[in-house]
Amino acid sequence: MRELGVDDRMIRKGGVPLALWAQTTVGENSAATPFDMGALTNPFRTAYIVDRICMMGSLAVNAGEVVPNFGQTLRVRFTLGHASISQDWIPIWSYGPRLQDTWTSTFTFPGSVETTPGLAGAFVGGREVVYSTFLWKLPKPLIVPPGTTLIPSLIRGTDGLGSTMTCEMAFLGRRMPPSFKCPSEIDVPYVGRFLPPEVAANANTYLQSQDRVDMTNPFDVPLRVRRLVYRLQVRGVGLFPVMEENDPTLVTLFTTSDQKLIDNIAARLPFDRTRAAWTTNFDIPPGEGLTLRIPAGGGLTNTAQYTFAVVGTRKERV
Amino acid sequence: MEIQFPPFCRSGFVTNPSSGGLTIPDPALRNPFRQDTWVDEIRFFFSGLTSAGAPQATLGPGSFLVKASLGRMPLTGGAFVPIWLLGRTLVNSQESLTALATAGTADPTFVWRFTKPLFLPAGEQPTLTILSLPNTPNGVTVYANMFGRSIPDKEKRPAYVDAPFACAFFGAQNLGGANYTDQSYERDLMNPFDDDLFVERFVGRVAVNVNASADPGGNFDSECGSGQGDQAGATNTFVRAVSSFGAVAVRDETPFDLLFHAPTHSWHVNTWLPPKGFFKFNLRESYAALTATTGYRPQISMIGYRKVKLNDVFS
Repeated sequence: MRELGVDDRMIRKGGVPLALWAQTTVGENSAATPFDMGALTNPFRTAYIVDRICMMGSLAVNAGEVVPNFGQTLRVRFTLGHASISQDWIPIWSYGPRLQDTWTSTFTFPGSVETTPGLAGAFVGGREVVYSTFLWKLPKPLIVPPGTTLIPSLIRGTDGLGSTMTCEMAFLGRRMPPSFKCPSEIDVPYVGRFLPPEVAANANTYLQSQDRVDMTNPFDVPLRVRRLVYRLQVRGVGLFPVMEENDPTLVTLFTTSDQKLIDNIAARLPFDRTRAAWTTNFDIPPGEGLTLRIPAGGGLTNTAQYTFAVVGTRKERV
Repeated sequence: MEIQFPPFCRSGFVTNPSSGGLTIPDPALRNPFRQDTWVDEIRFFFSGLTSAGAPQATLGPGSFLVKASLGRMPLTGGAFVPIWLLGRTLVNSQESLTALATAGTADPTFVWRFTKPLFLPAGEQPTLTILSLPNTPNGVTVYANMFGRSIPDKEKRPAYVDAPFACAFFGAQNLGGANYTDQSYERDLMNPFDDDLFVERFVGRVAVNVNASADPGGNFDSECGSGQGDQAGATNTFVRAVSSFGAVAVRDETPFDLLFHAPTHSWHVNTWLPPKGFFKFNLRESYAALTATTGYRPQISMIGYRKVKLNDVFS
């Protein structure tokens, strides 16, 4: 049956572009907060292919305060029906590479590179609104079958800012015609993470991810790893986390079968400072994973929070 | 051993482009080796933005537009397209998360990377006309640098070429202190040809004129999201969009800067637009809480390409 109002050529050649958006608010140390699932559902009841996910957090701070980066304390989890996309609550900055260069010499106001101030004094009783923006370009477009919704939900950790944060999420993709046949197997993204406790400055302690728990392929099929994301946040004066400019951390990364991928190298080398990510293309077999070991604290100026993520895809039966 | 498809770069410039427009002179962009060429991208570089004189203490690149054609074939639709709507800057830090071409910062380079390389027969060059908005002060030079590859003589010419195309919608300039709505015309973001147009992406930016109330015809200093703290304009502009077939492209009122996400300010759609098809964007601008003396002007471009018979263009 011909779909009214839509040109067949447009659809046959890749789908009709469709952007979906939703907004929610989340307080500090909040419980899990979902987005409006209706707003993020394809209203046309056809297959929807998600190409990228844009995320933004904003909140008001007192003018002149150091502008924080929300990427570590704001954590999101995606699910698609029974399929897990996020291993757990994963910092929002761990899904994709950093969007902006870090060649500035200072990480104070206007803040770390993903955050920008709004118009001073224009909002909320003279306070300033700051925004952090993040982008997850999916390793492979995700086919969301008809009647299914890709569901994101949020938590927010301790960032000392107290205000209610507004979080916005947009799915940018394409909707397919009713005649589109979903393949029997689709590529579903998966993000695993290693999120150790905070580490005091110069603490002489090793950190190591848990074998077969963190950054493990929990599926029965190979996990094709597309990207490794390494981020570090250091708490500055007061409670506002700032970026560590000269990260001295050495990392060792090896597989479950003890194959070393990185052997005690400065993290800023494989995970370049521009993108904070290492683009790869290798498979992790079912049940195996990656282990990260870092000698923590040495050379850092303040309490540090490391985040490490593995971003990939696996085949899933629809 | 002969280098296959050796790269080359040609550069031309105009100084003090006026509201009437200045054309990059011939043969600045022509391949000097008298060979056919694949053109991959054109980069526009501005010199003198940060030292522009009165009446503007600062001058952003949003005040400069371009019209491009190749033989009988238009590469831009409508009148002129803002240069900064053709693509992103080369340096991430110059995009809207920090200062963009405000006083004292580096002059930016914008890249129009073609979706597919453009075939340029030997002896031909694109015609680029650069125009500046009224009241733009003197002292600015706009360079157009064309990057491509020479094609060896033995290579057969294609029967069809992929011709890039860009068109743009200018929203009205509205002052802070009130709320507005706006809508693009059908002719703004339209496929004017008799062939299908592949739409690769939309690029969106909100231009800012901090002196708008005193100088409404003045220039755009910068863009929302710069160090001047004007991201509020982009965050308070909400977008919905439909196609010419009534197909919803943006269902809910989505923040401008979430849809045209930094640092690329692009929404990649990779779709086909049939002949005379168009996209229409509806804007809701909630500027009531913004500074009343500042003007905001959302702009959206549509970038893509179409297939054209070579002999129809260069016969």
